[in-house]
Amino acid sequence: MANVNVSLTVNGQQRTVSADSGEPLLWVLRDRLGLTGTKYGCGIEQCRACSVLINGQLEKACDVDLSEVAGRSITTIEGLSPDLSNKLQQAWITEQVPQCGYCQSGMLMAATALLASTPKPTDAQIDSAINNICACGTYARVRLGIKRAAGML
Amino acid sequence: MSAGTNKAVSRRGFLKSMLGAGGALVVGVELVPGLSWTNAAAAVATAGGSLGVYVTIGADETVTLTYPGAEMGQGASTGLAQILAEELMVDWSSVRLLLGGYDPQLNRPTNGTTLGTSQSTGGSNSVRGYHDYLRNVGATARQKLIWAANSLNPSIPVSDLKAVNGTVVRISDGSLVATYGALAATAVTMTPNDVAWVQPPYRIIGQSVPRLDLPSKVNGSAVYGIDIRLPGMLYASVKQAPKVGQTVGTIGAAPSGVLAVVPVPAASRPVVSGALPPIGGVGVVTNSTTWGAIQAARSIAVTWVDEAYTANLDTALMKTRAAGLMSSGTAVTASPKVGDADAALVAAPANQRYSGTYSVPYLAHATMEPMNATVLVTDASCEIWAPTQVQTKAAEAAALVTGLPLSAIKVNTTYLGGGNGRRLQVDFIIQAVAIAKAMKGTPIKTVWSREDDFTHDYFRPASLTKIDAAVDGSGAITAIKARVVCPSSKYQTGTLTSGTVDSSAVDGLVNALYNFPNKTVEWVLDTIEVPLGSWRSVGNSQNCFFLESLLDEVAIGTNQDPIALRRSLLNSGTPTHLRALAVLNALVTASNWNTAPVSGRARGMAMSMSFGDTIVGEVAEVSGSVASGFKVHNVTVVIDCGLAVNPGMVKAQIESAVDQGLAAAMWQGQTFVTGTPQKRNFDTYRMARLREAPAINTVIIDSGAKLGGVGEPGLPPIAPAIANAIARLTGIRARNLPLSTMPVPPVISSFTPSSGPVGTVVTLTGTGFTGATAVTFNGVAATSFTVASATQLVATVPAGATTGKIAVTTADGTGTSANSYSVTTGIPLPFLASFTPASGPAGTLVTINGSNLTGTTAVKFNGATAAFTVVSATQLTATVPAGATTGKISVTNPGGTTTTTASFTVGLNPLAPTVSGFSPTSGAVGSTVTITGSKFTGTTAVRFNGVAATVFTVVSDTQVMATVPVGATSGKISVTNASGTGTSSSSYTVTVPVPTVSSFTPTSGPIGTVVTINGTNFVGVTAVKFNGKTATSFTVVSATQITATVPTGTTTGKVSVTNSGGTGTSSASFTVTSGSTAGAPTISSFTPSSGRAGTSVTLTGTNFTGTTSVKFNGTAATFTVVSSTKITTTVPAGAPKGSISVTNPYGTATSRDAYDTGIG
Ligand code: FES
Ligand code: FES
Repeated sequence: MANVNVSLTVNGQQRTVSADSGEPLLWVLRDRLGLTGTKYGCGIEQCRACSVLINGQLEKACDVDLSEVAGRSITTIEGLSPDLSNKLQQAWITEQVPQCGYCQSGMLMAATALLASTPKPTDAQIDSAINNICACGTYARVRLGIKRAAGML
Repeated sequence: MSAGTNKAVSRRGFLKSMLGAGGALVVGVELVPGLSWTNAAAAVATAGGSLGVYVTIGADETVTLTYPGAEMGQGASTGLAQILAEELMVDWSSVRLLLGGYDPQLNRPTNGTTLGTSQSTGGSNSVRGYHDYLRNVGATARQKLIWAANSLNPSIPVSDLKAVNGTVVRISDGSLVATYGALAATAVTMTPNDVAWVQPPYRIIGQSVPRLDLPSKVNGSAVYGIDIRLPGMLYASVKQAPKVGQTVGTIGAAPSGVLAVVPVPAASRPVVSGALPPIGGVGVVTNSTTWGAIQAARSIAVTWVDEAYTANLDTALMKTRAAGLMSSGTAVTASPKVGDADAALVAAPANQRYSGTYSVPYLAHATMEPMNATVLVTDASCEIWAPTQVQTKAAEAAALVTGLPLSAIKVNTTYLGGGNGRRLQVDFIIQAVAIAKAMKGTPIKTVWSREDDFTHDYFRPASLTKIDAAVDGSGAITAIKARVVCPSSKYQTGTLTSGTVDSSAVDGLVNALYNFPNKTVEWVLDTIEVPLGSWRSVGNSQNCFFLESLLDEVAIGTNQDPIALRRSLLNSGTPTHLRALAVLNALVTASNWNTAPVSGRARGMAMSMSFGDTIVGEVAEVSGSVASGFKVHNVTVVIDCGLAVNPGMVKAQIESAVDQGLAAAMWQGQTFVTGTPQKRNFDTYRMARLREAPAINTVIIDSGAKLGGVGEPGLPPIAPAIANAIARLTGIRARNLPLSTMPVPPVISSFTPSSGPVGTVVTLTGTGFTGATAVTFNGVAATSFTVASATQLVATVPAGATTGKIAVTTADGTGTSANSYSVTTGIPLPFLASFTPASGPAGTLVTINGSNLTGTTAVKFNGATAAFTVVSATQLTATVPAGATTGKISVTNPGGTTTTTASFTVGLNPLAPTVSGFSPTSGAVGSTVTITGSKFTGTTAVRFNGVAATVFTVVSDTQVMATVPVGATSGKISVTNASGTGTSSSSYTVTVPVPTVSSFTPTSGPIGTVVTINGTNFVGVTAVKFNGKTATSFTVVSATQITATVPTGTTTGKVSVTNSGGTGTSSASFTVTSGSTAGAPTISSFTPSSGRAGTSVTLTGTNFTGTTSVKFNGTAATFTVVSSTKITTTVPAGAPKGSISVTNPYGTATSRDAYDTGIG
């Protein structure tokens, strides 16, 4: 492990981070760049509260080292929309999806990735795409939120 | 109302928006030290726009409402704001939310006008607990605004003024008098005396208005405890003990990058009021990130010291302990006790009694946000930002840690990433304050790893509960007795009065909503030290499972509909029972109870009343099996919580409770091994995923009863509803949670043959057969069966069996075949279990094992009839006939023909080895031979002319190296594997090495002297000669030693030894002493006179030369003739005490004295 300088794009902005090359992107985002919307839940790729998009691909930020994101473009929950205009955010409010809300950044990033590849997902496709843990039991509404954002309700 | 119009106000956002509005009356709270909740309250007061701590009106007409508790997802912040907004007569879209911090003004009220002593969130008590008080607060603020309008416009009497949508208007003509924003400053000074609640119909109460906290929860801006960032803040974590109940021993050197190492009070200790736990964790402060802090905490070396009880915290031990308490622990009876359940149970006949012993495990809270707190300590103050359910307790703990007065403590409440009862505890705050105290002046954020969060929890107690019930002849329950064995957090914290019952141990049993004519609930305290806390719905979470499962067992046993059974238990006409009846009726309709579910599914139901008489009934529809797991497809819920302040949020809370209760029922439970919690992250502590979440249909009954709780009452019925559905689906009653630990009964997937008379041996194929205790044919037990493997079992159709299904029973349950076995008449078929060998040429004798072989009429090898002999009912032999080809063997009796499943290979088995050559072609015993051929993989034996080599190495499939074994003679080499044997065509010659003679002793003596000859290669010795004279008596002692007697006529000369390899001759000569005719020996003495086997004994006497044996009381001993007058010998094993004798060719001498061997 060694300190490295890494340049990356976060929510459209160029950022340079100087940190241990092995520091997970999750903590770079949260503690170095102040983007605390991406959450720590397990650190072992189980809960997906830390989900972000890297070059458009859904990834678990707890499992991506800083050294792996040089030159990459990261989208976090803060990058979905500044004003809640994103259709998934709108649908989430219409369906009143979040409860404690802690898992919801990850849920929304997973839903974003799903709709990008599958604009009208079936229930089975939602089942297999959304593997995030929600301890509050928002699952039924997450399903509704995705369908609403997809224009299926 | 459009989505997203409301904003919850984080303190940062609050400050910006208020100032941005221009001319704002209030100052919000920035998330920096010094601008905290209490500063805001002061600022609000001086700004003059505050109508008390709960209500602030902005000049821009925004209405900011303070939430006094913990918003952990339950939506209470919105629910309380609805109550205030209703009374305030403001438009919902103008409402903003401010999360209140520690402030005695925000204490939980005890009634509509009085504040209690503590600020806490729990017990599903937010909306119902604050309702009356906030109605008064809101109504007072509204009247202050009306009176302000009157004060500013004295010509308009109060009686002509009313509040409408954030304004005050004239009743007489509806004209606007003033907006709230314009009235707020004046309103502060008003003291209205005409405060009255708004009357229904309500505008906001009872409406599913959108939650105020959600916009910030969909864009990442909601600030949870873990998200706090302060200028100059440093990150810390805690090295927690690996086991429950350990203290810090020694602390190793700080890893690089660590700024401070701080011993801190132990996490997850029962908190005894006014005292801190012992040092049980090591705080590590870094200049890195939270990740760096967690890494540093992991790497610092700490030794730990167990408490006396630590090793007892072991799931296996604790189960045994609870079982002991169940059978013989002292119980305390909970009140109220109704009638005499014991007497009624004794009086009931056995077939009218039901009994079940149920258990639930320890549960972790598993909140998604791990424990954390951010703290700034100075010499004079301590400020905390934390996700806490208990602001007062947090402040008191901080005062204890810092030694500062309570007035110097500030607590700011963040959003909570789940609470679930875990954040009613302040252990994580104590640790964070202790760390910050060591870093005065610097804000420190302390975050636990997820692993530490699981290891150091205050678990939902495990409970072992037995319920007995008696019914009358019509199936009506006449008595219930529950005996609960369960630990107690009250006991652990020293707040349990001896001889009383911890209500959380019996909640849901003692206060169940049913009328039982006789009822006893008793509790046996288990003093085990597993740290305990409240988990969603507390005692109801387990006791509803116990009671509702038992009721279902009674319903099944008495053939009653479970809803009808419950109706009969409610039928007493009280309001609570009428409400419960309405819940059941709605449940029947909403769940389509009277229509069967689709094939492969079953429904189960349960109900409960908890948290302020909220009544919930649930129906779960389930498919699956124990072996493959279960799926809950849908859940129907009917809830009567009196008044639903926000029906949408009530539904969300029901969905939440069902999902959480389902995951706990199906999969969850913390286990311990000698103090170490075994499940430390979500990989082993299984949470539900979206695909496992059922569809949930919630029906809210608006009964008009007083407000009941909402957050928790949905949870208790889900576990029994699922278990009751499983009982109907599988016939198996799940009495222990989680359901994933249900023992898997055997499964019979097929059997053969499918018919036959009594005595037929049937082979069953399936799973879980190991340890089978019974096999039945249509209910008749087979007297003979054999478990061949976990997946195969053979059983003999017993006498008396009739056509029907086959069942296999193990300790894990019973599995029944899908199809019937037909019992016919006649002679049972032969059963063929095995045959050996598996291959061979015509003429090979094959042994066939099985049963029903006595009446065999024909044996065929792939259709070719063979000669056979019936050895017994279970064995016959047959000879492979000439012309037979490879194929199955069939055996026929008058009942029919049975064919083996395996084939007999006629001729050499292609899988058997072949030996094509070896090298070298000759050698002595012990030399290595390289054998070449094929199919050597799996070689089991290499033989030299039939003598098995004890050492061989399979070099490859075509090469084996073997060592010529002792005893081998010249002949063919064979190699054997499981399929057969290959033999070389040529012979290997075992050469015999020529002996050598190196020495002998004695070197001289008369005829008859026994000479010990030493040398090599004394193998296969054919002759020993003294100067050419053949010894008539010699013994090969070993490959290196021979004893030989000097024969008559010998003259002085060399000694030679001969075998088939040649002759070896000594270099020295044996001297025959002249004229000597030795006599019989004599023994004069021996020493020592006693000693066990192995003792060396020296004999003294005469004529010992030529001694042929020395015996201890008849048992021969080894000996050495040292001289003609001295022998040394060793006491042989097993010789009894007695005389020693010495024999030479001339006679035997026996000692006068006995030698004591210690035997006899
Ligand atoms: S924190 Fe990354 S998957 Fe849980
Ligand atoms: S909303 Fe709380 S964990 Fe999902």
